[in-house]
Amino acid sequence: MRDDDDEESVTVCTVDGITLYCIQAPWVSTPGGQHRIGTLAITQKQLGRYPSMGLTSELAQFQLIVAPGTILARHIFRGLRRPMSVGGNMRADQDKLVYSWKPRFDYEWPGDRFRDPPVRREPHPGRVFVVVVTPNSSSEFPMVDGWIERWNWVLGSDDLLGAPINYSERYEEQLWRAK
Amino acid sequence: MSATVVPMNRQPGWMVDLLTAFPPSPFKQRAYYDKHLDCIRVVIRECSLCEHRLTAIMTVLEDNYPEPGQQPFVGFVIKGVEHLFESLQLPLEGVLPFIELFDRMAALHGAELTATVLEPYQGLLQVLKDIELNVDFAEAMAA
Repeated sequence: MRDDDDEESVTVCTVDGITLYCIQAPWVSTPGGQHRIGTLAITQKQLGRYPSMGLTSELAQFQLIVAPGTILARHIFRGLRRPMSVGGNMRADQDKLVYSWKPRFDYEWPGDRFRDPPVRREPHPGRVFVVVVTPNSSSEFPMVDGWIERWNWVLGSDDLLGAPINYSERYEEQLWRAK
Repeated sequence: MSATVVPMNRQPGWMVDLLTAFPPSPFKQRAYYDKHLDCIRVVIRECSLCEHRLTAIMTVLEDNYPEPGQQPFVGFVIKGVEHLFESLQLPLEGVLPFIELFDRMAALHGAELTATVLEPYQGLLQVLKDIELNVDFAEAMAA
């Protein structure tokens, strides 16, 4: 297992002065298609909003769950089925990918946030972790398959291990599941 | 739920660089527009969050590990903000009191967001009324 093993799970690269934090994750283009190991990234500017806003638990979750754990995702869903307009695209929800799995641990970073360490917690048994990703459409970053947008816990499905509750209603389709 | 302090006396270099470029600030209760996902997030407590989807346009945020006596619900996500603001004939700019927006949204989507649906979150809504949070779109757009 790679939980907590964050040393090698983040690769830093800089393109035209923009710093990216890159991680590995399963990647598949068509439903049921062959998957490969792809690269997901978040810009330093976007990740930097979390410490800037004092959202330190979410930063700890990126470091200790998202970065080492997305490669272990059990499911990828596509399409969020909710209104979303981004950059003039009125159906931006259709492009979004959702990675889900059940990590062994959760993390919070309370108290005096950057002198005290994060606290590792045993997650609720009925909850799974999701990461929302936008496929990369920019030729400026050819090494990036998808952009990491958001991560959090949701209630888990009773009938599909590692999937969110009501996954067939929440998402357009299941793109991939781990064998 | 058990809790264990994680020894972090050696932060990875990328985290050190990140925190140098973006020094951490104390958490403040806030409402902000997430332009990447076209939603407004309101959070009143810094914690690990579980998102519960109430409707296609509204999610409630629950603290995964509230202290005894704390109310578990700590925020909302309002989704499809561009379309919502068009429907409400509001400009997507400036500063807007969150609770005013919430009330107008609840009126617009009264069939889904009934008093019964919102009943479990009245404590959170009262806190949001009391602290008078604003959504600052200029801040979000600059991100």
